[in-house]
Amino acid sequence: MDKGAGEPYRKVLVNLPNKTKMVKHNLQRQLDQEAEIDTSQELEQFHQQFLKELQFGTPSVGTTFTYACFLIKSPLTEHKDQGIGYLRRETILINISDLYTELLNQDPQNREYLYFLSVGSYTAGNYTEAKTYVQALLQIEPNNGQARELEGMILNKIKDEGLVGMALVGGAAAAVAVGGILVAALLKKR
Amino acid sequence: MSKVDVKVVLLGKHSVGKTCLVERFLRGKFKENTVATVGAAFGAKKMDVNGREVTIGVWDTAGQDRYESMSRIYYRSAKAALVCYDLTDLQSFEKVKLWVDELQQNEEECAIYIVGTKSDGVDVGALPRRDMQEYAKQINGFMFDTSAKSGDGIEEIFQHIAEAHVNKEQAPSDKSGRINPGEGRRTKSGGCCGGSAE
Ligand SMILES: Nc1nc2c(ncn2[C@@H]2O[C@H](COP(=O)(O)OP(=O)(O)O)[C@@H](O)[C@H]2O)c(=O)[nH]1
Ligand SMILES: [Mg+2]
Repeated sequence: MDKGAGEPYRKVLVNLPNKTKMVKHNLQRQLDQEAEIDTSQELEQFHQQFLKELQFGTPSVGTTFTYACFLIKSPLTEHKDQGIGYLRRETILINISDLYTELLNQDPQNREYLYFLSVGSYTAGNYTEAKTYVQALLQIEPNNGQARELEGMILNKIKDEGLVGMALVGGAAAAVAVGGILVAALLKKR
Repeated sequence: MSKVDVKVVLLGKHSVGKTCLVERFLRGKFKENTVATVGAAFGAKKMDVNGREVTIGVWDTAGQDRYESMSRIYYRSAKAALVCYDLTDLQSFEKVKLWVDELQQNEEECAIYIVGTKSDGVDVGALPRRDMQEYAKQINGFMFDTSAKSGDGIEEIFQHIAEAHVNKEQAPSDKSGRINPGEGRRTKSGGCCGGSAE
């Protein structure tokens, strides 16, 4: 009865209970383990693919996405930055939450760009930016456990670094709003 | 944090119920409203095999096509793969074959479990599955039926994997690392090609 295949995204938007609280520490473990997987071959493969498609104009969304994800997984900071750059270019971000449905209809992959942007920023040590992306994702999908956990880790880092500033004092909503404007300025619909 | 003894990966089309299966195994509950997995998610659980502790590390992958190239890095050096299809939507079995092909080409050592999901939603015995059972036999895979909703069949799979791991460690002469199909195929429904999954 519940195939969910057709419209997984819209289904998510309908139920918005904001009480999902997860205390697991699997994600940090995941990132540690992923860091140990050698993905240099995949990175090279998609680098070549990307260059090939670039000769004929704009590389496809699929290639760009996968290439960017492998760049983010790379241990090199310049790779991470490059990957984040590509994903940013794909990301659509609007501030008013009613528009998110529309936004996902336009590009259902937006949620995934946001997730990897956040992961990438986190592993690159840019916690404030990581928070912006993950909180934007949580506006779309408050039930997303992966994003919740990531947010928790990011907030811990920010706290550790003594960066708890006005944004947090002003409450999560304000933080998202501020972040949203910031990101919207950075991004442009392709 | 204890280290992972056995790496297990879940593959299969999106929405077949991989995340629910993992959730049931790790936390013993059924989460009805899942959100489509982004990329991959990791979880671990300790199991007990005759007093021996075995830590199973599970990689749950997103089933969307765009993740296919990425899924590859998650099945690398996996000891077992749960290749899942939806018993209420047998079309989803097509994807199973693609994953099995890939696994056989790239991860010879990986034991293959062909896992039917959502058994609560269908009369399992009445399903036309002769071909699939033949297929499972042919590729030396194990066939299990599960329901994340009721919990049926899930513990059994992981117990099977953990036991195979322990057995192998205790028989160091076999260096292959491959879980040997045939051994421990005594599961009433599980085993290869079994009928119902109660
Ligand atoms: N009836 C029933 N529904 C299930 C079962 N497992 C998953 N589902 C439903 O199938 C949908 C997709 O499940 P999910 O685990 O997210 O699939 P995934 O994309 O393979 O990870 C959800 O709506 C679940 O509620 C099950 O054992 N029984
Ligand atoms: Mg999933």
